[in-house]
Parts: sequence; C-alpha cells; structure tokens
Amino acid sequence: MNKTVRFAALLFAAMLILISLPVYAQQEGTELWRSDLRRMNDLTDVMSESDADVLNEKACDAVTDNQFDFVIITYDNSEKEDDADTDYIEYLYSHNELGYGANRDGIVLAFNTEDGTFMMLTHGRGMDIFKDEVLFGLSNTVRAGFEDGGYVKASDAFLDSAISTVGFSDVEYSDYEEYDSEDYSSFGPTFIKASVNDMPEWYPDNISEWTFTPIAQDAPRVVDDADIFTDDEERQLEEKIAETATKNGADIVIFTDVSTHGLSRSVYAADFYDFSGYGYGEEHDGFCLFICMDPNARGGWCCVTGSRPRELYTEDNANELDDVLYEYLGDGEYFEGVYDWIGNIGTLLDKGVPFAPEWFPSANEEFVRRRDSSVSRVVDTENVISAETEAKLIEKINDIRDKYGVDVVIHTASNTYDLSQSNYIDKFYKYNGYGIGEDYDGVMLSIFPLYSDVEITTFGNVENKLTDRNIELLMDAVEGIEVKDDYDKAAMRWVDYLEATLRTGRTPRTPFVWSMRGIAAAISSLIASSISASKAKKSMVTVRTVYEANAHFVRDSFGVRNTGDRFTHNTVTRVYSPVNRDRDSGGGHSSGSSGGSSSHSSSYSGSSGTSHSGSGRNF
Amino acid sequence: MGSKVSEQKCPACGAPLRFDPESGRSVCDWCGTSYEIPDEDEKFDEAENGSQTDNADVAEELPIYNCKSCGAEIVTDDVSASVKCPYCGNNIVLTEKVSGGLRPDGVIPFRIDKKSLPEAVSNFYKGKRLLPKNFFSESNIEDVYGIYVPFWLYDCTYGGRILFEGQRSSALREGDYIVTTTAHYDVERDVSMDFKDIPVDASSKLDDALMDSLEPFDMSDIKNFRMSYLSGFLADRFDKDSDAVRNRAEERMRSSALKVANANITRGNYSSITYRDDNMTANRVDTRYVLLPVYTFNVGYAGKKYSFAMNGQTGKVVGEIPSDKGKKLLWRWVPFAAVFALVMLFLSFFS
Repeated sequence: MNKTVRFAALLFAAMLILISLPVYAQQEGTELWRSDLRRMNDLTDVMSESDADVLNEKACDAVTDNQFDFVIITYDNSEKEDDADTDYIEYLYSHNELGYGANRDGIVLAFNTEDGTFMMLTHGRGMDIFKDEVLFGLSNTVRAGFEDGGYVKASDAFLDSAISTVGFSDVEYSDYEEYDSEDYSSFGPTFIKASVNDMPEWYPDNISEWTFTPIAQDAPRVVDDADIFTDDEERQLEEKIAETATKNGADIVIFTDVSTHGLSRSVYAADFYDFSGYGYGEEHDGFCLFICMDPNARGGWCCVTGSRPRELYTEDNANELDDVLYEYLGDGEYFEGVYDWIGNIGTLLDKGVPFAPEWFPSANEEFVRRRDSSVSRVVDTENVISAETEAKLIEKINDIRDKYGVDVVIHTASNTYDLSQSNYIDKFYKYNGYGIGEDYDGVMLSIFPLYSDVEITTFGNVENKLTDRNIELLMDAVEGIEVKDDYDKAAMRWVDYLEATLRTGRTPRTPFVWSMRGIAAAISSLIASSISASKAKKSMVTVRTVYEANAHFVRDSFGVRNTGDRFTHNTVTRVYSPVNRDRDSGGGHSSGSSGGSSSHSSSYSGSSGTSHSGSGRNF
Repeated sequence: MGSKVSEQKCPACGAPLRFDPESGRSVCDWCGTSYEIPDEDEKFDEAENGSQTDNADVAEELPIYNCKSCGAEIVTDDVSASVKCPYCGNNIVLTEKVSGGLRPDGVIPFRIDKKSLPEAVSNFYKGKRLLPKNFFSESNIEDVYGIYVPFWLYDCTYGGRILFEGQRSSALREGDYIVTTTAHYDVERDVSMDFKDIPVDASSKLDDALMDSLEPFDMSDIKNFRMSYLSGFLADRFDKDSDAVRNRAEERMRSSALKVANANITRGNYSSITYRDDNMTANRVDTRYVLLPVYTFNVGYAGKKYSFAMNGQTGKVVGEIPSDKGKKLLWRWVPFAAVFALVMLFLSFFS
C-alpha cells in the first residue's frame, strides 16, 4: 500500500513539472515583448482587415524567431496633432512598450497616409543593424512596394527585407542594457512616391534612383529661395563662408525657402544638403542652415553632416549657437544673424567651442606650450579692477617674480566657455603662456564676479612653496568680509599676503581674523577672571545664614503615597520644519546663456539615407 | 538680695574648680587635682523639666550676686547663667538660671581648649586669598570668651501634600510641520519625612548668622546637663522661647523637604513633572533646650576690631575678615591677562 502511494505521488509530481515547464518557458518568452499587442496597426484603415491580419501574423512570427520587433503603423495628421512625426511615432513605440528585450530592439515603419510620407525608426541594436545605407535601401524597397501594390505591398516588402536583414546581421541579441532606452535613430519622413511632383528643382525626380554627386566647389553656398537677403548681403555671406569653410575643412550652406513641401524642416534641410551634393570629404562634412519663411511655420534648422562636425555640434553647443542666432532672426535681422552664425560655426570648428576667446588655441593645430612674459599678468575681463590698481598690481607681481621666481596672474571672468571651472583656469594659464621655469611655476587668482566665486590655483613647483593652509588663508584674504565686493582691495591684499607668504612661509591673518581672535581671547579671559575673582571672594565669606536642614534629615524616613493623577488638558504645538528636498544647485559656470532650448536630434536621416544631426527653433 | 549661686570649689584645697575641655573633668588650677563631673548637681533644687513656656516668667529685675571668694557684688544681665568675678576671677554659676524650668535638657561640653585658639585662627587664615598679607603678623587676638550658647533643638515629622504638573508628549510629522501633543496632569503626592536636632539660636545676644555658620555640632555628644560643665565658662540662658524661633526651624525643614521630595519622587510615566504647590507642615514637634559651646573673640587690626567665633566642639572658626583691595584687583586682572595671552598665543600657532 505504501509503495503504491509513493509511486502515485512521484508520478503526480513529475506530471506537474512537465506541465509547468512550457508554461514557464512561455512566460519567460512573453516577458521580453508585448505579444498581446498587434504589430500591424492600420490606424487610418488603408488596408483590409484580412491583409492587416496576415501582415500582423508575419510580423509576430518574426519577433520570436529573430528576437527583434517589427512594427508597422499607418496614421494621419489628426492622430499626431502638433507633434513632429518622429516624436509621435516614438511616443507610440515607448508608451506601448514595443520593442524586444532589455534594449527594446526593433524597427518601426510608419506611413503618414495624409502627407504621403513614411519614416522608419530604429531602437536598441536596430540602430547598429540598420545603418544609413541599409535604411536608404530599405526606403527604396518600401517605395517600390508601394508602387507595386500600395500600402499592403509596401509593408510586406518592408517586412521581408527587414526580417532578412536582421536574420543575416552579426549583431546579436543581448540580455544586458547596452543601449540608452531613450535613444533611437530615424529615417525621414520622406515621400512614399519615388517621384514627387511640385518639389524644387534640386529634388531628384526619382529618389530611388538618386546617387550622390558632389557639387562644384565654387557653386553658391547661399541659396536664398525665400529672398530674405539682398544681393550685397548674399555676396558678403558667400565671402564669409568661403573664408570659414576653407580654413576649417567643412562646408557651410545657407538655404532659405518659403515651404518644406510637406517634409519636416530637418528632413528638408538634410535633403537639400544631400541631393544638392554639398559637403567636404568622404563623409560630406558640413553645416546647412535652413531658414523656413513659411508664414504659418517660420523657423530654422541646422543640419550637420560628418562625424567631426557632429561631434562638435553637441546639444549644449547647439543651444548656445541657436540662442544667439534666433534672437537675430526673431528681430528680423536675418543677415546679421546668419553672418554672426557663420563666424561662430567657424570658431566651433576651429577651437571646439562656439564662442572661444582669442587665446583659445585651434583644435586643428598641435598646441605648443610657450612662456610669454609679454602677456599681461592682470587680465580683468569683467572690468572690476580699476586701472590704477591694475598698474600697482602689475608692479608688485613683477617684484614677486624677480624675487621669488614665481609667476603671479590675476584674472577675472564670467564665461568659462562650457568648460568646467578648473579646466578653464588650467587652459587659460597654459594657453596664454604663463609660468616660469621648466615646470611653468606660477600661481593664479581667478575671480568670477558673476558667481561670487574665487579660485587660487598653483602650477608647477609652487605647490611646494604654498601649503594647503597657506592657500586657505590667502582665500580668506580675498573673500574676507572687509573686502566684500571691493575687488581692488581684495586683489591688492591678496598680492601683499602672497608676497609675505613667499617671504616668511606664513600667511598673515586678516584684520578680521585678528579681531575675532581678540574677542575670543577676551571672552575666555573674562570668564576665567570672573571665576577666579569669585572664588577668591567666596573664600573670604565664612558667615552665612543656613537655609536648609539637609544634615538633619533622617535617612530612610522619606515616605510617599500616590493620592491621585488627574488629566486636565492637552496642548498642541505645530512647528514649521520643512523637509530637505533636492534643490537646484544654482550657479554653474557653463558658458553662454540658456535663453531658450532648441529641438535637437543627435541622429536622423533625410530621404537620401545619409545620417545627420541638427537643431532648430521657430521664430 | 543675693540669689542662688554655685561656685565649684576644690575639695582638696578650696580653690575654684573649672571645667577642663581637654580632659572633660573639673580641674583645680591651684593644686592640680581633677575630678569627674558628678552624676547630679548638689546644693540646689532640681525642678522637673516642665513646659518651657513657664521659663519665660523669670524674675525681671537685674539680679545682684555676691562672690563667695572675695565677697564682691556682681551685677549681671538677665540672661547670664555663668559669670566670672571681675575682681578675683572666681567662676560663678547662677543656679536659678539653670534650674527648674530653665534647666537645660543637655549640654555639649567644650572639647577645645582656649590655648588652641591661635593655631585654629591661623589655620582659618589659610586659603583666604584676599586677606591683607600683614593681617596675621600685625593682628592680635583679644577678648576671648568661652560661652555656652542656648539653642533649641527641633525634632519633627515634616510632610503633607505636594501638587505637581505632569506632562506626557508625543510628536509626529505632518508634511512640513512637527505636531507635538502634550497631555497635562495634576499629580498629587502625600509625603512625609523626619528631621532631628535642627538647632536654632535661642539667644538674641549673638548674631544668628554667626551661630548658623558654626554648624555642624555633633549632637551625639550631648551630655546630661551638669553645672560643673559651666565652670570656667560663661553661659547664657535662652531669651527667645521655642515657639518664637520655631518658624526658623520650619523654614529650614521646608527647604530641605522640597529638595528631598523632588529627588525622590520619580517621573514614572510622565515625560516631566514640575512642582506647583504644596501644603506641607511640621507635625509632632519635639524640642530640647541645650547649651552648645562657642568661643567668641575679637581680632584687632589696623585700629579696627573684627568679631570671630569658634565652635567649641569642632574648632571651626568663622568671622568677618578684611579684604585687601590690591589683592582683589590682582585676582581679577592677572588671570585675565594670563588667559588672554595664552589664548592669543594658541590661536596664533594653531589656527
């Protein structure tokens, strides 16, 4: 009987395990993608239900086979409202948790059936599988399919091609988060028809058959289809571009138009740049500033091509450049704004920062450090030190240099050109040729009046002459309450104290410190002397009336009895004690202003499939 | 006219006897013989110790005494109970001042001899930082009197009801506010405690604060009263009865009682208890009339006399002494300067 029961129990347990395995596997599989959602979403009903179901099934099968998501959407402008197409599709993708696995691997083909355009978005490892040229090829496949059999055929052709591409790709699925979940790459929106009517002449008749043809070197770089510049202004802009582009090895193009012909500004600018054949070198390095003068949608977009320009055109740099440019454009000063912008792009290409000062070396040349005694040792960019004081400071600094062999620099600034404060100070000292001796010995006082900040930095062997404590005390000399906001006095005192420190090894204390010491000493002395005098006086007093009888208390005679505790009332107090919450740190030393923010794209493709980055705003 | 007196005479040679503090015996300075203090006093009527209030009704006229040794007439005040003949130095105890209802319940005999006074006084000067430096060398002890001072000793049970306010608090956070709720309670406790031998000066001749300062006396040394103890010393009887000075004792008891109660009543469940009121009183009060030994003397210095007293049992000396102005300034400003310099030096080197 026991054996039978045991056998039955074992059999039952085995059955349970066998049944749950597939369930477990299935559960594990379904966690990685939303199998409950359709992959073919015909929101504008451009295909029959049966066709949509077939495509859906094909896509779903492909998801599990390839560990990669394939999504097709049809939509119109009423769905996306005021959002950009890219933003709208990206929102649908992330909001519905589409994508496969930890990195949300996937590709989306989205048809705007109202505009007659389509776009593709890639996520996760999709950005590595579907490079520019692959997307371009895929876009031609979509167009060819559309020509063959409308949206159904276009979608089917897309799926075949995309599934095949993923299947043959070396980039394998990963369980680990290797991509930023908010990162994606976009292609388009671009026209679904290869041949599009009513497009400007630079637009190819058949996008599918287009190949890149570089434009002539002397071809115009200012294409003012919106006619916002005079002839003379155009000429000046061309000269400026020629000078800047040649020096920096990157093309600069200014393009204005009154319409984008249904495309987004970013794609229109990219298409103009690509289809016209602009750009230097293999990667077509360059910047294209497109100004759209459509009365209903005035704005601009800077399209950036090539890895070096794209590396320099960070979101922060883009915002800074756009802050300046769009202020001009908003005031109708198109020429002034564009002219200035060209100069700033040149500085960005040359020095790596858009508004770098003269002393900032070129990023394109190898920097050779030098010692330059002709450069002024007091650089008052912020004009907070008077001329008279500056002259005296220079005299004292020269004296210190002669006596102690230490270079001394005083510098005021507010703009650190997007560098960290310490990095900026280091570059300022190095690039201006300061320092004495082999190790460029020196000490620099940097004052940032805008942020009420002061830094003392030692260079070379000076850190052996000035200890951390000396530096602290020298900071006190500049930041002391007596010299608050009086930069003349602060700088003079700092130099004097520095000289005393180099001479004696000890840094003088400020009068404020001495007075605080005196007060502390006086208070402690008063306390001590009062105690002493009180004890002396007390020793003289021997006759005292006695007011207590402690010595006559009979020990253990104390008795106590509880007679009653009675509640009388409550009192309630409320004390304001706010909880510490994260606060903005404020201050900061990034360069430029943060007057507004641009739309920025770190990677997108126009109709040609070439990868760009860019930024733009309305004005 | 003459009143009852007792003059202790040496049985061997007839010379006056005096009580010797060192030996605790009656001593004859003439022949050197010493005698134990007798168990009972002789040659006078011992009255029962009755109500002390009866003692207030003493003869009001100034008494006149005849010295038995030289026959001189001695006039003394109403309270003196033991005097010295100013003519022959004979010790005279005025028996009627220490008998009947005026008879003390006990006495602490002198334990310190007058000869020890200078040493006790010089020890007293030690540590007196503001004493003029020539006070010791240029001062002199004068008018030394050993006197038995009358005291009332009080024993009682002190207690009653004490009212406290008890509080219990709790706090919690509501957003950016800390809300504290405090419950208040009336907390009543009945307490009682015993006090024993609280001394109160019963003579108006001597300053109360001076007598207070001579405490403590070791009350376990109280002996049954014998007139022999008074020989050689002055003595006063009380002129403030026990009821008149009782409130002094009660004030002292109350002060100590509150401290004892606060120290011994625990908070229990309360976060704090605070005294509010009480109705404590002294109950079952017993009093004793005792004589306690005190030396009084003056110290003359710079044309001025400073009054002192010494506890005749313990040798404790108290009194007013002059302060030197120069030393006062020294004790204030020298430490000031020293600490100031030290702190500045320290800050200079270490900050």
